[in-house]
Amino acid sequence: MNRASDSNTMVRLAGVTKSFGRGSSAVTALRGIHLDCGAGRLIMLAGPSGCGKTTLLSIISGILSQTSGDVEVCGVRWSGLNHAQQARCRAELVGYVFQHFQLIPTLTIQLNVAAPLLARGVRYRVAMKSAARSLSDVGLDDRRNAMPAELSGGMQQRVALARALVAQPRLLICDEPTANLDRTTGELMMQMLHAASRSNDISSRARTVIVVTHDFRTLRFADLIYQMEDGRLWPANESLLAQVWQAAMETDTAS
Amino acid sequence: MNRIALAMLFGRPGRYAAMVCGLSFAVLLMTQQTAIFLGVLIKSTGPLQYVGNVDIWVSTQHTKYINMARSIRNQDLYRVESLPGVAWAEPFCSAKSMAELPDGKFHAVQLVGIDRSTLVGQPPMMVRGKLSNLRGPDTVLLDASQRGCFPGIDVGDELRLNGQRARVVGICRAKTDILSRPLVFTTHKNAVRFAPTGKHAMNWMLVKLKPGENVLRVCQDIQEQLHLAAFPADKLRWITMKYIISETAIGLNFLMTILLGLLVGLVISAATFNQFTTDNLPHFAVLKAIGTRSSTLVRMVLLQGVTTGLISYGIGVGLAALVSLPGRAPDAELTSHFPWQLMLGALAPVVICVVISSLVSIWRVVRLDPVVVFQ
Repeated sequence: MNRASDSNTMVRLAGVTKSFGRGSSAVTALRGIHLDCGAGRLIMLAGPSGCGKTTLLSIISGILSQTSGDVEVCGVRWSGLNHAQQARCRAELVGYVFQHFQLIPTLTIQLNVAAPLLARGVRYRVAMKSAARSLSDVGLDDRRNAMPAELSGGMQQRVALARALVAQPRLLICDEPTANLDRTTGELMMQMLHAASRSNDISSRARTVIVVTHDFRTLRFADLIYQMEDGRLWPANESLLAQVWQAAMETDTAS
Repeated sequence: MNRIALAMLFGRPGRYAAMVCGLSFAVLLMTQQTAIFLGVLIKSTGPLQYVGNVDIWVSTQHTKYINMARSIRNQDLYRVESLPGVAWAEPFCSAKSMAELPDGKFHAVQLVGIDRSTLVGQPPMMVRGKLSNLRGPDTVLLDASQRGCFPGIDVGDELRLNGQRARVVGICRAKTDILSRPLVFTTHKNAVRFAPTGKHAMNWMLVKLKPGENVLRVCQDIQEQLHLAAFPADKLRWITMKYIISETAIGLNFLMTILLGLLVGLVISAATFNQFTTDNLPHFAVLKAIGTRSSTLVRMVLLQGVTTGLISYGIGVGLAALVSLPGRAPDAELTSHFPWQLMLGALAPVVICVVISSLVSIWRVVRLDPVVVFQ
């Protein structure tokens, strides 16, 4: 495995570009992205639809390969790995929370949560035990035999979080995790993600959580906010932070 | 991951039932048609089905199968008997005749003439009356399975065969040939009168060898020294079936039906399994995104295919066996033969259907881009 030298950096992107298509029909989704994320941080990416947030998440998590530039996660350079190695690294290093939960409807909650461990070859009993523990962490211990359709949207997203954390990943990728949740449930989810970024359960190093969001009210949970537009990424400017502050105030007033 | 694969499979009962029903129906169609074909082949062997304790069947040269034999001269019987290694040789006649009932109705029958003293070639089971009664003058035995052709005729009654009076002295049970003509057993001497061929009624000789004699050697002696055709019983059975397969369209017709079953199974299983995979593609994408290797996903798809195939196979073969049950009755009009080799052989088309269906699904899963989970 191709490991970089700086072990404190959790995610490093250097000059990453991504184009889809060729020739005159080519569309550039990312333009020279640079990013360094340390451990124990909750980083939020904000930006309008189509600005390249999802593409960036896909590249960070090793699901999509960049057109040019370098991507390292926990010291692992994705471009140096073949498909099988990438799959193994994803299973070991990365957890995912998706906008539409992406639970498998024909599996029980517990089996859904155990899936990342089973994918890593962990024995069934051990995986199910860990899944029960993870479900307990998100307050769904009593629903482990339920099917996803029997749960509310908030509960399903908590299951998705339990699934993302069950394998104790170093990096948690969240794509609009509050988009399908009401305000209260969204707040709860963000609190959990914030706690997840602080947890120190696998080694002496903490976990990095990267969240893509449209919801300004959730930005106040961020340690770092990045803004994306037209395939470019930069630290959030003052107007964005002002909007964040305003949203946070409104939330407090409402509660 | 096997449990996840199976949970995905059984988690959609409607889709799963459609897959199993389609494939089971195809297995049923293929297996049942093959069983009927085997039954027809066995039935085509006529008297070979019930004449036992005979080593060699002898007829004239160029005889092609059991029902295509010319008459043999009586002196050939003695010549065969005189060959070294032969214990005995008895005449046997299998000929078409016409039975006329007292009310004037008539029916084509298969006349079986056997030796009066030894009764070699006798029906395997008597239902009513004694076999030895056949030694009386003008006597016949009727086959129980075709009693419907002789309404009102019972033991002690009379009918006319080839215009000659015949007295029914017993009811027996034997197996008819492929044409299902009622069997009428009589002595060889009577058969000469009851058969339209008259004194040329004998068309087979049944030969028993002395203990320890080589069947093939004696057959060779009969062929070379007497210029007659001689077949061990098993060989005659086989060449009869081979003749039916190669010289009639029966085999081709059954083959078409069996291939149709395979095609139906292939299309249904491929379509439903492909639809099942399509439904599950987003879930396979999630599994791929969270780090499941493609090889593991391939194993999952194969497990789903094999499980569906085996369950369908079990149901299909079970139903085929059930459907074949009436054909096993002694007097069944339907005929089917369901050996264990057929059960085993039915696995082959299932494997073909599962492999082809799974390959399509595997191709889609392997090519699946996990990036769709973010879309």
